[in-house]
Amino acid sequence: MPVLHMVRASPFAAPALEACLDRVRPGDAVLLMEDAVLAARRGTAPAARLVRTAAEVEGLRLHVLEPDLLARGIAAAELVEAVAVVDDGSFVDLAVGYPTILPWI
Amino acid sequence: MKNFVFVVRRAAHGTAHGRELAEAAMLAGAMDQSVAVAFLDDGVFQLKSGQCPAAVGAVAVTGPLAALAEDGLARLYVESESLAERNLSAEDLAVATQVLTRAEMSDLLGRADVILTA
Repeated sequence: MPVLHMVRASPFAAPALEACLDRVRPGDAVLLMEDAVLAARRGTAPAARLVRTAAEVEGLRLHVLEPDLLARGIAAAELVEAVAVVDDGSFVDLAVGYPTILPWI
Repeated sequence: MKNFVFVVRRAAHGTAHGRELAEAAMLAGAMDQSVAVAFLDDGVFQLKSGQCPAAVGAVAVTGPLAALAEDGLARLYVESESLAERNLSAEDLAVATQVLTRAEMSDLLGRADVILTA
């Protein structure tokens, strides 16, 4: 069964994103929210890790929550291409679309 | 008069720690203390331009901090290595701050009478 992984912590301050990406399986999805959206900005080590994992894991979908981007002043142009921006409505659709959700605290 | 250094190491809006520390710095500045606010590690994200905190029901500290600095009530410092690790430069910041190297930042902390962090 595909899993929706939800990551909240900044990748620069906590190892949650790395621990998550070490364990994702084909068909899973990752949602970056709160401080974890900082991982999606181009030109950083966490962003490179996201891109690498997206290339390695077949069918892995990476999402980033729009209100958290807006709050932090991160424009769409700053993001790596591997991530898709979702708004609050799409977030709900995403959450109900996966039978299991795994939060990475 | 004591030399206060407030150390902000957390990103904006994920927690209220940065904002609360900035508010404490503003209070100290208003009470005629020597106040420096040091932004390092994820704390540099507090200063990023273009923030729209209302999107998550939060508030930014950049405006009040900039006013404090302009009035000469506090000095703002940001660490160059922390910016570089996050693909940020001084041009990405909404507030004029003095950029220090990590070694210079350590010296600043070493000269403090009181260090406050959150």
